[in-house]
Amino acid sequence: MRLTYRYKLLSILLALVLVLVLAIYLATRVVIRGAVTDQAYQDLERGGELFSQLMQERAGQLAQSVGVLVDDFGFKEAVATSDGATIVSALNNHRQRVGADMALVVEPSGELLASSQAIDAESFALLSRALAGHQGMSEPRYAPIVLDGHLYQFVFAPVRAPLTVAIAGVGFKVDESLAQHLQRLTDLDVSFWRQHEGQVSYLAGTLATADDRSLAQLPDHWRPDQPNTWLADETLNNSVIVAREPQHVVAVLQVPLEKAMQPFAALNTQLLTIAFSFLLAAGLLALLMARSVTRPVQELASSARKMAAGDYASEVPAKSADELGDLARAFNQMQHAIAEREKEIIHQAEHDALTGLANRSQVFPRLHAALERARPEQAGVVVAVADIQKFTQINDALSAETGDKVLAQVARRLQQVAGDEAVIRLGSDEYLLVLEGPDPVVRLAAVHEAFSTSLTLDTIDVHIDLNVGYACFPPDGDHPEILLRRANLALSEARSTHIKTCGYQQGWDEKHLRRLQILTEYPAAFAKGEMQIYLQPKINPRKSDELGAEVLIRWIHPEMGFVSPEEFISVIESAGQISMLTRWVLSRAFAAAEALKKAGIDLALSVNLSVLDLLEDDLPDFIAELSRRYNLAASRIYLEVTESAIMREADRSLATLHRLDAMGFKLSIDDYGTGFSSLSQLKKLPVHELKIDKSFVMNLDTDKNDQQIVKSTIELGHTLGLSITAEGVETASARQWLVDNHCDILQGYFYSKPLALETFSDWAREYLSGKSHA
Amino acid sequence: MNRWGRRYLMGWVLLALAPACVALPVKVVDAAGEPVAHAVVALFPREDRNLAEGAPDGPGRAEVDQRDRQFVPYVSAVRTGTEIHFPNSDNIRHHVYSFSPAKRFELRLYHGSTADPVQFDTAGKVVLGCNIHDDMLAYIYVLDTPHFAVTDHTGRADFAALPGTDWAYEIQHPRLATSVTGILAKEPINIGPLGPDPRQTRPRTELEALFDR
Repeated sequence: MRLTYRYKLLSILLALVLVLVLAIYLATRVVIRGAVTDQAYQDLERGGELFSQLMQERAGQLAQSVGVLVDDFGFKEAVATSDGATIVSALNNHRQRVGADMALVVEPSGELLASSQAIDAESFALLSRALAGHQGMSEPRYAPIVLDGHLYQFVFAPVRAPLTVAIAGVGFKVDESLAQHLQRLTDLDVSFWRQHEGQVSYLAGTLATADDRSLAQLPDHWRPDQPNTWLADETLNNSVIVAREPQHVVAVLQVPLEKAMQPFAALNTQLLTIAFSFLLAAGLLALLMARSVTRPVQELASSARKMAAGDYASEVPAKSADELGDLARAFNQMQHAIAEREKEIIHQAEHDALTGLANRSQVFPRLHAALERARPEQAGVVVAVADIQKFTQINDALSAETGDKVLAQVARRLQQVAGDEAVIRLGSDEYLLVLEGPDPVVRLAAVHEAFSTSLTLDTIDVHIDLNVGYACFPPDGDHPEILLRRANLALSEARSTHIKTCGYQQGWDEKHLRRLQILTEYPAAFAKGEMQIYLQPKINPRKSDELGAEVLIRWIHPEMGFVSPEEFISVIESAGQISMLTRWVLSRAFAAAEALKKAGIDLALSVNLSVLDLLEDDLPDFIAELSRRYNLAASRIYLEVTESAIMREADRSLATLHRLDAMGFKLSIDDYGTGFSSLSQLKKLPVHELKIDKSFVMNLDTDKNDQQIVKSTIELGHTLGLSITAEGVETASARQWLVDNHCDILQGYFYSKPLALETFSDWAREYLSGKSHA
Repeated sequence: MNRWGRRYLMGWVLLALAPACVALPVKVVDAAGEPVAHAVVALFPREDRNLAEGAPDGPGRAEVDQRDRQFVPYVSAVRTGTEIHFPNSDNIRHHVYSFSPAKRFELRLYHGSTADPVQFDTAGKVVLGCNIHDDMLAYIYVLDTPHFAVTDHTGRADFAALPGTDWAYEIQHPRLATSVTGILAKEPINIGPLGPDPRQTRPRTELEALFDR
C-alpha cells in the first residue's frame, strides 16, 4: 500500500511534468519550425532573386564574351569572306579563351556556316528555333537550350560587317561546377530541370543522390509562368524559370528544413535537457513527498502492529506540525489510553473485584511459577485450599453484604499471613494459598492463628474458622493440577472429618480417581450387561409356601472386577445420579417378578430406594406404571428405605412415602437400628416392615446385648403392627433364636446367598416344593 | 548646314559631271506609294546594255566623307573605275573597311585626308563600315553605266537628256535584297516593299554621349 501510494504520486507527478514539458517542447518546436520555415521561405525567395540576378549577370558576361568575338575584325573578315577554315579556328580559339563549350556561326538565312564541333540535326533545329525571328537582332541574345540532355547557356550575337553577315552563337554548358558556384553564392541547393509534357527531368545541379534527383513532378499549384515555392519531403523548394523557349527549363533551389533547423538543434538539445532535468526533479520531488507521507504512515503502521502484538511502548515520533504529526500525537495518546485500559482489563480479568485477590485464572500460572522457583533449590511448596466454615450460615444469618465483607477481610488476613501474592480466590468462600520458603507446613498453623481473633464488621464481631486442605510439593505431586486436586481432596476430608487442617494422604487420590471411574463408566455398564440383578430369598419360617426376595445389584467391571454395591451406590448417590440406577433396578425387578410368576413362583419383591429417589415426585407414578404393566399387585412390592435417608429430607420423603402407601405399596425401614430414629418418628411413618440390620443378627449366638436389642425391637415392631425381618441370618442357631423370638421373616446366607435370576428360580421352585431343609 | 542641303549640293556636283542633255526626272516610290530616298537608279539602253560604256564621260572622282561618325553620303553611286576619297572630317580616327565582293579594302586608322583614294573597278554593291564605330554604315553602288542617279528625299532622281532610245532601269537600295529592273517610263517606279533599315538606331551609351560634343 505504501508502495502503491508512492508509485501513484510518482506517476501522477511524472505524468504532469511529462505532459507539461512535452507541451512546451512541442509548442516551442512548432513555433520554431514555423518561424524557421517562414525564414527559410524568405531566404529561399531571396536566394531565388539572387539566383536570377546571378544568372542575368552571367548572361551579361557571356554576352560580353560573345561580343568580343563578333567585334573582332579578323573574325568579321573571315565571316564576311566566308573563310570557313578561319572561322572554325577562330571559333575554337575564342571558345577556349572564354571557356565556352560550343561555338557556331549561322548565316542570317539560317544555314550553319561553321561550328566548333559537329552538331547533329536535332540540336541544330533547336538552335534554329531559338534564333527564329531574331535574325535581325542588334543585341546579343541569351537563350538557355537543352542539347542532348545537357543545358547550355547560349548567347547569340550578330556578326556585323557592318551589316549583319552572320550570327555567332557561343554555348556554355551548365554543369556541376556552375551549380556549385551558385550554391556557394546562394547557400541553396541548385538544380536545373527540364519540364516537358508535365514531366521534369534532371539536367544538372548540386543534388548528390539519385533519390534527390527524382523530383518526379512539380507540385499541383505550380505555374510555369511564375516563381513557385513549396515544401516537399522536409525540403523547401523554389522554382525559378530559366527558359521558356524553345524548351521549358526551370531551376529548383532547395534547402532542407533540417539545414534551416540546424541553428536550433542546440536549442532542441537544451530543451530536451531541461525536460529531462524537470522529469528527474519531479521524480525526486515525488519520491521525497511520498517519503514524507509514507514514512510517518509506515511508522504509524509499524506502531499499530506492535500494539496489536501487545507492545504499547513504541512511541511514534511526532516531530512535524502538520496533519501527520497531529495524527501521530493522537496515535500516541490512543496508545497510552489503550495501554491503561488494557492494564485495567487484565487486572480485572486476573483479579477478583471483591477481595482484590488474584482470581481463579491465576491459579495455574502462579502454581507453575512457584514450582519453577522451588525446583532448582529443591525447596518445598505447600498448596493449600481453605474455605470458611459455615459461610452459608453467616451469609444467611447476617446478609450478603456482610458475607462479602467477611470474604474481603478473610482475604486480607490470609495475605498478611501468607503474603500478598500467595493468596488466590478460587470462588465463593474458597481460597488457595501457595506457600513457599522454609517450613511451609509450619506456616500453615499461623493461618488458623490469624483467625483466633474475631473479625469486626461494622458493629458486629464475627468469629471465623477455616477448613484447610493441603498438598505438598514435591511429595504429593510435582504438577500444579495434581497438587490442586489433592489439596481439594484434603479439604474435603477436613470438611467431612471436621479437622481444621488436613494434609493429603497417600491413596486418596486413587480412591478419588476410582470414584471418578465409577461415575463415568456406570451408565454404560447397563448396556454392556455388566450390571445384573441378584435375588436373595426372604423366608417366612412359619409359612413355607410364602416366599419373598430382596433385589440386589451386582456390577462386574472388566477391569475393576466385582465392584461392591455399597461403594458404587454411595458414589452414584453422592453424585446425585442414583435415580437412573433405581429405575433400572425397579424395571428389572418387575420383569423378573413377572417371569417368576409365569414360572409359577409368586414372590413378594423388595427393592431398595435411596433418599434421593424419595425426593423425586414422579417416582410413585413410575412404580405404579411398572406395577400395571407387569400386572403385579402393589401389596407384593416392598420398597426399602434406610431410616437415615428418611430423616435427611423428612418432609418431602414423607410425602412420597405417603403417596406410595396410598397406592398400596409396602414400605420397609432398612438397616433398622443403625440410625437414630426415634419412636415418635417411626410412629408417623406409613411403614409396614422393619428390617433389623445384620450387624445385630450376625452375632446373635453369642452377644447378649444384641439378643436384647433384637428381642425388644421385635416386640416393639409387633406392638406397632409391623412385620419384622432379620437380615444376615447365617447360622441355624441364629435362625432358631429368631424363630423362637417371633421374628416374622428371615434373610441371610443360612438360606441362600443372593442368586442370579435363573439360579433363584430353581432355588425357589425347590424351596416351595418343600424339598429344602425347612 | 543641314544634311539635306549638303546632299543637294552633292547631287548638283554629280549632275554637273553629266553630259548636257535633256533632264529626265525619275521618281521612285515604295509599295505604299511613298517616295523612296537613297534609291540608286541606273539606266541602260534597252537593246544593248554595253552602249552605255564610255558615255557620257570616263570614270571620275568621288568622295565619301566621315562626319559626326557617319559616312556622308549614306548612299553613293559611282561608275566603275572611279576613285573615291575617304576624307575624315571628324577629330577622331576611323578605320574604314569593306568586305564586299565588289571591292574589299581597308583604310586603317587615319585623320583628315591622309588616306589614299580607293578605286572601284568592279560593278556591284560595296558596303562601308568603320571597324571602330559599328554604327557607321554607307553604301557605294559601283555601276557600269554612266546613266545613274540617287533619289532625294522626294524619291526623285534627275537625269540629263538621254539619247532617244528606249531605256531600261535597274534600281538598287539598301533596303532591297535584290535590284528592281524595268523599262523606263514616265510613271514613278514602284520598287515594292522595302526591307528593314539596316542603319542602327541603337541609343548611344553614356560613355559615347560623354565623348559627343
